Amino acid sequence: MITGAELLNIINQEIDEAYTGYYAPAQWNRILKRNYTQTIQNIYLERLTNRNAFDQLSYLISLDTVIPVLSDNLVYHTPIPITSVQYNGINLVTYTTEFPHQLIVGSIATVNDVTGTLTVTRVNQTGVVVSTPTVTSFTMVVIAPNLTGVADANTGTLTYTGMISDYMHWLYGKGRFTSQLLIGNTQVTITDATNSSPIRITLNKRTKLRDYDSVLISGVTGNTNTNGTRYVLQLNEFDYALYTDSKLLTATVGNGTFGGTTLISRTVYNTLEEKRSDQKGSVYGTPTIDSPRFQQGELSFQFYPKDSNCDEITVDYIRKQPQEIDVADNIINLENFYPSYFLEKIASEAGRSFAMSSRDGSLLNVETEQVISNP
Amino acid sequence: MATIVERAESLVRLISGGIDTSETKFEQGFLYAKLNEGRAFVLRQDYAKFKRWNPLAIQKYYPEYVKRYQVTGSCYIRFRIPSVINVEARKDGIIYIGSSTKSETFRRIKSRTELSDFNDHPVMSAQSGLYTAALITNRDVEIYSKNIIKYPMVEAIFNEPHLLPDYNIEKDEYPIDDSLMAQIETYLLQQSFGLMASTPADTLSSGSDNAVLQPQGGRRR
Repeated sequence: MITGAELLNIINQEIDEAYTGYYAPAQWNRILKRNYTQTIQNIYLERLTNRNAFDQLSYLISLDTVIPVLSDNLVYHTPIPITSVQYNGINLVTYTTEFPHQLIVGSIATVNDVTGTLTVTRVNQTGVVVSTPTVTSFTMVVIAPNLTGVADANTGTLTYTGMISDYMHWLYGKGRFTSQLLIGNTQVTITDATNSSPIRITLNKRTKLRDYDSVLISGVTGNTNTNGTRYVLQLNEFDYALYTDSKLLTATVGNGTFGGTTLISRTVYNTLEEKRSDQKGSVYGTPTIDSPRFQQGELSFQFYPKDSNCDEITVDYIRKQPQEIDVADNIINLENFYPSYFLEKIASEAGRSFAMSSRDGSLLNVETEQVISNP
Repeated sequence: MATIVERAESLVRLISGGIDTSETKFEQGFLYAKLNEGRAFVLRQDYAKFKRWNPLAIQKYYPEYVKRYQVTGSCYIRFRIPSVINVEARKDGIIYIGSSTKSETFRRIKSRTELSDFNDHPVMSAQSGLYTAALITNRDVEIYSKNIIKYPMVEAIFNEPHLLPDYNIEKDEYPIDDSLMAQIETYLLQQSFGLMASTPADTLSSGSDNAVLQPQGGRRR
């Protein structure tokens, strides 16, 4: 059993006995918290050389998590604070959020941590949104109405599908962007779609569409099976066959005579690189759907380019710590939350941080060796 | 068959110890620009040696007819094409310019003086309907013909092959021979990336340039 206090003993065994008590428990807690993220990130990046370590940590990391991007190319990574809760006296509660939410009628929302004299067990709930009066307010039906009391202002948080509510640190991500197919500033349109299987479309211009590319087609009348997300097989410079699966095994089936004003967009899924502050003025750093970017804000991630719709991201990230490590605690068994070798590793990292701050060169060498030998 | 994305990643791996974590400090646009620069350099050298263009470097481009490009009252149709590689003062990277719908090469006119002589000729002039002339200045192509030409085609060695409108950067092969790619990498590592590696980055937005070029050998003296 390794408690927080025992972890501090491990650290004290690593550093010189004379330094015991050099830092207060709160300082050690900060060092350990900092090393927590760094250690996991190092293991993630070194995964190919240390698969065993990676496997042991897999439940601290979320891999290939698909998050829908609901609107504005934005995903919240922190629950949205609620500023006020109003009960209409009958059966509806209106929540006001500090930042714009992305809810629509029918969304499932979860409200937690509202306090006050209002019957809070009723307003803290998971429910269906029935209306969204403004971008910062939404309404849900309250179960078992006839509430009494008043909710405290600025208490409570909102979470919903389409957020990364347990986010701690970004490791890797890619985003799906859809952009109208243009040649220069001229829109590409479909001039024909055959009533056959697979449906064969003809475009009015040569494009960069290639085999297995994903497109979003709309506006076709008559041969309406052309519409939707489709995968293309290039037949010649202007003609493509449409399939419904990415492996081009299931052909579309024509169901009428082509007509309508068509819109065809290209969908790509590319790695999201960080929009760094030193690159914001750079011409080469301009985001495109082939080279998209993300920027982390106080509560959210914004994805670029904003003029192309991002509707989904797939992300690897470090989850919030399942249990805070407190070196003053001697009750909670940290091995219930972390592998023992991981605890020893962050102890070694903490020893190294200490050696650097105390400018002890020989101790630093020893601790660095410890870290290397315990990857 | 390597795409420009793969070529750029292999460059990053060369200068990053074999690893690309997707957190490289080099933007994609910058890497592509450097690749194209190296490609142009190597292709020019290759042409100077063998007096022919490497066929893998040739791309097709179909200029679009744009009404606002046309000069009112003129006797030609104007198109714009991407910039092409130049070898020397009188030789550029345009291999072919002609019709895209039939086998017809346009006669390449090198100057307006020659164009004037061409149009004055009783048989050779564009108005005879027997010949079509193309005058290329910078990126403008003026086509002189009795017929309306709206669908020309250009085969050339372009400076920025990935910017052609029908070029797919993730699927289409980067137009360079693999053997020449090795020369490109050598050129870039010695010239551009070698210089960057010996120059400290000025990351402080302080209004003063703290990046000092290192003298040869990489050490300050």
